[in-house]
Amino acid sequence: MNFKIESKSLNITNYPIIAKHFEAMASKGWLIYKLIGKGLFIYKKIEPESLDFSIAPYEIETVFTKKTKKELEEFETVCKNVGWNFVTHHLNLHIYYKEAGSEATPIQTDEEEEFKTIEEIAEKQIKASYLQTAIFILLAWMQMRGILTDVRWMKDGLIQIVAPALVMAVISDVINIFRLKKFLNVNKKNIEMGAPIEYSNPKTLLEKIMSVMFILLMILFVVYISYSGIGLNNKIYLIAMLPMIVGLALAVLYRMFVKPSSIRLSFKKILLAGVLIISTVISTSMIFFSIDNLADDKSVADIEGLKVLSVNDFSEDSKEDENSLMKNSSILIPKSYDYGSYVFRTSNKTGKMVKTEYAQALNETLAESLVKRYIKEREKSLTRSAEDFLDYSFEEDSYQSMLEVYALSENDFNNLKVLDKKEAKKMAREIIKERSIRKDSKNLWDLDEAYFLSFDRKEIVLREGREVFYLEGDDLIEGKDFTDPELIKEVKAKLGL
Amino acid sequence: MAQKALTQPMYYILLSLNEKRHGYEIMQYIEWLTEGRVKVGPGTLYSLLSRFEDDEYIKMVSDDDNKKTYLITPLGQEVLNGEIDRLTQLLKDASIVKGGLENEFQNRK
Repeated sequence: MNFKIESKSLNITNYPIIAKHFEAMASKGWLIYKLIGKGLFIYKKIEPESLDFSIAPYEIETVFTKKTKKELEEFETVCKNVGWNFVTHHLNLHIYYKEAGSEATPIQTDEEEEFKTIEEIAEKQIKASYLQTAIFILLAWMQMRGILTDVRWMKDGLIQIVAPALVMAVISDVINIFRLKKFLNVNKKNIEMGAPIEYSNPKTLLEKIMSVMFILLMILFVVYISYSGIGLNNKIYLIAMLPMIVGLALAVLYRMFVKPSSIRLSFKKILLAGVLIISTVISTSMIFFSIDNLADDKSVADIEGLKVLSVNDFSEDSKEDENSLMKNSSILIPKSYDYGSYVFRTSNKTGKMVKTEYAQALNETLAESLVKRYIKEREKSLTRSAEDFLDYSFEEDSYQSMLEVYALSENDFNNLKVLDKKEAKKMAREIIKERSIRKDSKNLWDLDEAYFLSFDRKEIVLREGREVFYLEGDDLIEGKDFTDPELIKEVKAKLGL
Repeated sequence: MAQKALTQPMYYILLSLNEKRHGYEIMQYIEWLTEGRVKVGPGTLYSLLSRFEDDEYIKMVSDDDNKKTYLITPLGQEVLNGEIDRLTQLLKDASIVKGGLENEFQNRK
């Protein structure tokens, strides 16, 4: 092999140590060639040589720094003139080498000045890390908050990849902030006392494991998106990547054409702001206006071999007008799909719909947990949707008839309204939950678990072994709900239960 | 407030900019002036040039062929003169000790 890849990190707290490492690698016949991302070093094969390396901190041009590309070029030319060959740079750290023993003025000749340069870079990095950490915490919280309660958390493979990656990014950022702060505090004192700068090789075992895991998760992310998009035919996954691709494309164009050009920095700043606005507008408009339409190919979903219900299964005169199928796969639930079957409302007939959510968990315990999550989610959605009616009824002392749908009768209301309003609403919520979500205590379904999730018994969650079904349907067979033996028999036959 | 003492590279860079010079010239000039005793590396040099420009101790007078040329400003000259005075005073103090004049201190008792 003519190249070698190493997982290490180069930063302002360890660069002289890494320079020594490059010298050791060169003596073994590997010359550093490129640094990728946060922690990949790429070496090319050379004849073993004794080389001296020097890594110089020098701010590169960004819209947040005053330094220009021209100034960097001058710096590089002078380094070359005094005997140092440029290899590559990683952010603000520039890597040079020379033959060991050859005459060359050191790139840094004053530690105090060197520390001032790295202090300036470190302070900017700390500020950027604060902002990045805040964003990651927000995103991680959005993804992680349903870890113990959401159905989505168990079924969605993407969330099981993205959420740990975000948590790791937060931990890594926090460690980085602490390390930089500690580095600055220790060395401010050292410089004041005339002592040398203390560097440390920062990658702890935990960080090494985290960076390997992070890379694996990113690979998994790409594989998952491709598998969901192409393998499971969920075009929405591929289309959802479009905003990111548009943003990346604009960023690449900016780096290719704007950043290296000699136009004034103030103009570059305006252009960057423009690029950010344009990519945000394009991405947002794609999300809000057209992604679903782009994914909707109007073709009839193939449900052959799938355990789902269709409106066609229950009525001769009902013909499915539209359907939707979304397949999913995750670590905890390797196989799942959601299917919706619809008949539109016509002038003389009401519309019909039936939804099936099928999941096959890794084991029975996970399937039981999924059932509990369906119940928890339903409890939340029931109280949330009834809340406005409860508020109005108790505040205005006027029973809202919509509450009947939620199992709270006028009689219940009259009994409760004598209580303190807060207490009355709390008890009303309990009644709604208790009456709407009920175990199939009569064992009508004859399965491992069955829970009705609505007062009208048109929503149910079923479990048999490691298979879980969530069913929701309005008048599938006229006037019958999921307690009806005839309907139960028919549904069980369709679902192979 | 008393001016903070300049470090060795700071002092020589300001001193070398009594004449218009670009980066590499400054390095060569310092080496020539100090007969090789003092060497200022490019990392140290460009970091200081940038800071001096911000503090208005020096100004850029031309920018041709990837070479910025600088010259000391009146403020920079003032800082440099202050440092020269400080160093002169240090030498004077040293000469008192070295020249045996410290007896005067003993006689004062």
